Amino acid sequence: MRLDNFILQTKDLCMNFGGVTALVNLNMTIKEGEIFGLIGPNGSGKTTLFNLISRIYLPSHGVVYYKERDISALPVHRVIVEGISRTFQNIRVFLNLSVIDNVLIGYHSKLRKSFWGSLCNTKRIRNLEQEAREKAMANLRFVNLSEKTNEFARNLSYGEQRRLEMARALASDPLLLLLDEPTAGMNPNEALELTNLIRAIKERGKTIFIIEHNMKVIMNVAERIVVLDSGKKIAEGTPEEIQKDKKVEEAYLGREEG
Amino acid sequence: MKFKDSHRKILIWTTISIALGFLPVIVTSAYYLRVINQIFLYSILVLSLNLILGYTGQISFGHAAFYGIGAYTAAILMTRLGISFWLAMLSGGVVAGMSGVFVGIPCLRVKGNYLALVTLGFGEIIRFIMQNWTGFTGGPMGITRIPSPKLLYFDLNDDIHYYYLIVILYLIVYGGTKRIVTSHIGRACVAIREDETAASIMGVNTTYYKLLMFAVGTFLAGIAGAYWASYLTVVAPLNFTLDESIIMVMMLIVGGVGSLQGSILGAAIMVTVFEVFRPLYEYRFLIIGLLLIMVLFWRPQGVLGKWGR
Amino acid sequence: MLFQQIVNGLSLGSIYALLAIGFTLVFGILRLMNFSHGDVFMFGTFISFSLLTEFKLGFLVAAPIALAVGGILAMMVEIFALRPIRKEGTTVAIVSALGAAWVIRNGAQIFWSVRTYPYPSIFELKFVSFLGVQFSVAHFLTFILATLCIVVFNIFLKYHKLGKAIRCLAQSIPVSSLMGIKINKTISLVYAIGGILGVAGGMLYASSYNVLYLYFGFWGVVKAFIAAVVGGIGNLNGALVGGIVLGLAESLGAAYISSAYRDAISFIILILILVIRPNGLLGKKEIEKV
Repeated sequence: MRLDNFILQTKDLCMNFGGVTALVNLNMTIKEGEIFGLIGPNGSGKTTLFNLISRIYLPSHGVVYYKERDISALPVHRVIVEGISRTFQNIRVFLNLSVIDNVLIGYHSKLRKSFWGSLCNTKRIRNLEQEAREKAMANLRFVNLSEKTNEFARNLSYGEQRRLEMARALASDPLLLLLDEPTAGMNPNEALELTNLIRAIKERGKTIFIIEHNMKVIMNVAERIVVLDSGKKIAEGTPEEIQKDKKVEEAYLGREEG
Repeated sequence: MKFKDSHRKILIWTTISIALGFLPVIVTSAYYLRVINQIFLYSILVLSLNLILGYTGQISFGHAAFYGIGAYTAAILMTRLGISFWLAMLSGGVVAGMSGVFVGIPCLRVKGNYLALVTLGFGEIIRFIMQNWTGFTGGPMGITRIPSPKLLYFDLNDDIHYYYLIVILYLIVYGGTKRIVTSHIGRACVAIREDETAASIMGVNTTYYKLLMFAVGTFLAGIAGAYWASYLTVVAPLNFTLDESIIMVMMLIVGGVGSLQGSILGAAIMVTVFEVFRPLYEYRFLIIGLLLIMVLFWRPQGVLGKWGR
Repeated sequence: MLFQQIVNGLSLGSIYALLAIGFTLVFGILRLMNFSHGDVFMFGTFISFSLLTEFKLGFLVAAPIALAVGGILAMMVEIFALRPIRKEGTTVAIVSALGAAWVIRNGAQIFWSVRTYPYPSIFELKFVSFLGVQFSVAHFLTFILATLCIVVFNIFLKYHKLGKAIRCLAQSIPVSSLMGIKINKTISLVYAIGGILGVAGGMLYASSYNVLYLYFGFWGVVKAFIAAVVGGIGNLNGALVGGIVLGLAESLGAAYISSAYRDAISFIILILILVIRPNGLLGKKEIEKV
């Protein structure tokens, strides 16, 4: 793990929606291989940042660099090809696809595809599908969902859907994984299991960028943290430094009256 | 004796093929045969619409227009250029498919109800052209004296010939759509239907798949149109109205989106009901309307539909 | 001549606006394209026709009855065809509404058959010279009447308790429910209002053009939707603006290009708007929350 290697960097990143400013002059850097946290009160712009990286939004100003490349002009479906994958704050699994099909969609960008090959069901395509299924099964085993392979995603419990989203996000073997509030709605046990999962993912050499509201989780798992408030970065540092930071406390608890 | 899955499949297909092959021996009435031909024809149309609307979730209320484009293309090629039915049918499909892509492009950014209206609008504009470009399309009278297919020395102009033709076409189309739908393409399309943004983020090129399904769906509709042109020997704009498009959507919904067998079921149900209530001609829309509302009340996802909320 | 066409366009447009309101209300709240709207107002207009011509009732008696029929019919459609499938998605909703439309249209056909009827004029067909140009008093008064309906309705929405309840529903159904608003009853009311305004628009249209026929409703609703979209869906002022724009475009187009192209023009405008400015002329850009 080369500590000097930046995998993601934003420079003066700004985002405005009509009259609402979501992000203001955001400058931050994520090193390769680290678990990097993003916290802040509701509405501080965290998911907006993720959406800018995913290229759903075009920045009003500023640049997002991925591995020293400006990815601002990339079409949305090519972001995952570069190696960036993600999960969502409100789970967005494909409800009317089976569990394994959901994961296979995650793998879609890696499949060597052919319309005519599929139409004629050639041996090559059948082998590629088989290979893809095996990889998908491996991902499902990693998140403990291999027993529900052919179940429709809409029939899974909340926790299972969260794990499915994780498996789907991992299917493309990304270098940078964006996790948006992965422990939301989980009890302490499930949250603990998830942190172990996150560490296991890091062991595989991936960089993880995680938004969290659960302070226990984030302080436990993140190596460095950035704090946003109303679209601005107000603090950056290790979990210990952040916990002692007065500005962070104010942002969450509100300014003192009087 | 253990039945392997593939053995069972072969048995089913063989039985179906034999049954279909011998059907005209049992059903000798030309009337019933024509109804059956209609059922298979609409099954192809509904299957093609299923690809666009069912699997990819792109609401299309203009499908009959592409059916019409295929019919008109084949009619013009056969009556004015003497081209053989087979080549004309293929051309009908190709021209319809290209039109589908052409219409599909502005539709890419539009969703849901708006898409329904845009496709409706395109369908009406195309019918308008059919009705008013009299020099090219024959205007409201359309094109007549469309010949029947010729195979080697045989002139296939009997209901039985058309029966075998449509059954073979149907089986090919069913097999093809099944392959598409069970492949990565089908997955990608359902992902687009379920959550286009998430699909896009997960690497699905939504533009490509939407246009692909538009192309394939309208191509198949065009092929069906060419068949119909030859069968009826006449094409006229009144066959390709908005009501036709609506009927196709109704068949799809009743049978169940996302179900290939549902497509033939939906077509069979609606064609049969229309025919059965022919004596009560005046009331047939009333009956169909009530039937539709009742089916949706009972099973909103369609008789054979598997997708729900 | 131009001035005449403009007056025609404004009159036609205000009628489209009336039709559009009922449609846009339902769409704004439930995201549902109620394709039965047209056939409901067609039915109501036919009722008024029979009351006027067969039963020889005065307009002041026939109109309220017809309006009531429209409102009730709309509510019945909601209860039987639309409420049960409310959660099933867009396509099913459109199809179910179409099914209801067919039932109503076929029902109307049984009573009135497929003929085109001459609907009597509410206002005498008089022409007046103004600034050296002739214009139709009937069309002008129609414009006034339609606009009056719209203004009254706006006031209802703003100040009356039920009007406010409707606006709450348009914002958020779950929150409205938590606030104690009776959802199903309010939705039924929305449909009823749509039916009433629709029949009003239908009667004005029929009397302006002295024509009434079976398919009058379906096309009315398509135009109404186009008007609503052009103006900005879910936005009531948008329905007004959209209606006027559409009416003007059709009148001027029909006069200066060809009347056969009237419908084609509406669709071309629709497609242009949806592709270029999908939120309509008055709509705000909707940002998708990811």
